[in-house]
Amino acid sequence: MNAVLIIAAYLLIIIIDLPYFFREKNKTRLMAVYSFLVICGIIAGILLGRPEPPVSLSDVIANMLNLSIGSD
Amino acid sequence: MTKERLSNIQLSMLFAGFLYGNSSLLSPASSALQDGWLAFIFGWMLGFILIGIYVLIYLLNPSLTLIGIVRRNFGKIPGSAIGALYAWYFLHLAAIVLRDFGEFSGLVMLPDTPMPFIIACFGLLCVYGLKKGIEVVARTSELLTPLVPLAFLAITIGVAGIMDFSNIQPVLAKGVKPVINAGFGVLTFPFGESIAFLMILPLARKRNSLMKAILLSTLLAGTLLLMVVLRDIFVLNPFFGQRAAFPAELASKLFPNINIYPLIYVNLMIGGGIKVTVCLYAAAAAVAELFGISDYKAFILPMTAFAVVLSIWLYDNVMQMFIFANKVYPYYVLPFQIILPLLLLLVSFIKKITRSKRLSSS
Repeated sequence: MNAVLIIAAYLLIIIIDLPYFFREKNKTRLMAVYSFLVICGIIAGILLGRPEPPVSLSDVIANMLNLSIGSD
Repeated sequence: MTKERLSNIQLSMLFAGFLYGNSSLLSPASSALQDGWLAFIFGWMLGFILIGIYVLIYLLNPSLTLIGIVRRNFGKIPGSAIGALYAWYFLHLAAIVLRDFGEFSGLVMLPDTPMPFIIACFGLLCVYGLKKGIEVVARTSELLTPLVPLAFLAITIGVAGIMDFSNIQPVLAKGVKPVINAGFGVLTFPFGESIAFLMILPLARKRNSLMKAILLSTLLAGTLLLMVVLRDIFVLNPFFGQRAAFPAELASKLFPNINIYPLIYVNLMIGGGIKVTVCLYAAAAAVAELFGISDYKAFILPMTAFAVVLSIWLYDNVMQMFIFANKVYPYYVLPFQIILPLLLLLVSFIKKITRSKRLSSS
C-alpha cells in the first residue's frame, strides 16, 4: 500500500512537471537528472515503509565522520 | 525564463528570516547552560566574519552563483564535484529543517497527526512558493519577517513577570571551554548555513550596498536570537532549559492564563518556511546549473519530495535528532561552511591579484 501511494505521488509529480520537459532544450539531461531524483525518492520511500526500515541517515553520517577522523 | 531580481530590502528580510528560521525554537547555545548568552555572542561575532567572507567571495566573483564560483576557481571537473556536494548539503539542510518542523508539530501542536503528513503539507507550501519564483518568496518574506519580532515581544512581555535574573549567575562557572564549544555550534547553526545565499546573491539588483544589507540583517536576526536565548535563561532554569526539547515553547507555556504557544508555531512557519524554501531553491538551482538545465523550477517538485523522504529517514527519534545536532552536525558541516569558503576566498584573491598584475604589465 505504501509503495503504491509513493509511486502514485511521484506519477502526479511527473504529470505536473511535464510542461518543463517540453520547454527544455537539453531534454535528455533533464530526463536523466529528473529520473535519478524520482527513482531515489521512490526507493527511499519504499524502504522507509518496510517493517524493518534502513539505518537512519544521521547514523550513516556519524559513522562516516568517525571513520574519516578515526574516532569512536 | 524571466530573470528574477531582488531588491536589497527583500534580500535582507529573506536573510534575517533564514537566520531566525528554526534557531529560535532549538536554542542553539543551550549546552553552555547559564553562559548560553556569552556563547551566542561569541558565535555571533564569528558569524559576522564568516558571513562577511561569503559576501566577499561573491563580490570577488560578481554575477556568479556558488556553482559558477567553485567551477571558476577549482576547475570544471573538481568544481562540479564540489558543486554536487553543495547541492546535496542544501537538500540535506532542507530535510533537517522539515524534520524540526515535523517533530515540533508532532510533539506539541498536532500529536495525533502522522509526522510524514505534516512534513509533506509543509513541503507543498514551499513548492507553491518556489514554483512562483524566488522573487515572490522574497516579497512574502518582506511582508512576514517583520511579524517575527512582534510574536517574540508578545511572548517575552507575557513571561516578564516570572523572569529570574539571577539564573544568569555564576558567569563562566565551568571556564571558557563550554562557551567556546557552544559558540562554535552557534557559528555552524544558524550563521554558517547562510552559505546557501551564495546561490541567491547574483539576483541582487544593487551590488554596491550588498555587504551592508547582509550584515545589517545579521545584526537584526542576531539581536533577536540573543534576546530569545536570554529570555529562555531568565524564564527557565538553565539546567531545565537544556533538558527541554523546545525551550522557547516551554517558556511560552508559562504565560499566565492565556495559551500563546501557537505564536511559536507562527514564528516557525515563517522562519522555517523561508529557510526550507531558500535551501530547496539553492539545491534546485545548483543541480540545474551543474547539468546546464535552463529552468531550476523543473527540479522543485522531485527535490521537495526527496527532501520529505530524507527528513523521515534522518532520525529514528527526537533524541537522535538532538544528539546529531549537538555532536555530529558541527563537524559534518565544517567543510561546507568554513574550509571550502576559506579556500575559495584565498583562490579568488590570488586569481584577482594575478589578473590585475597581468593587466598592468600588458
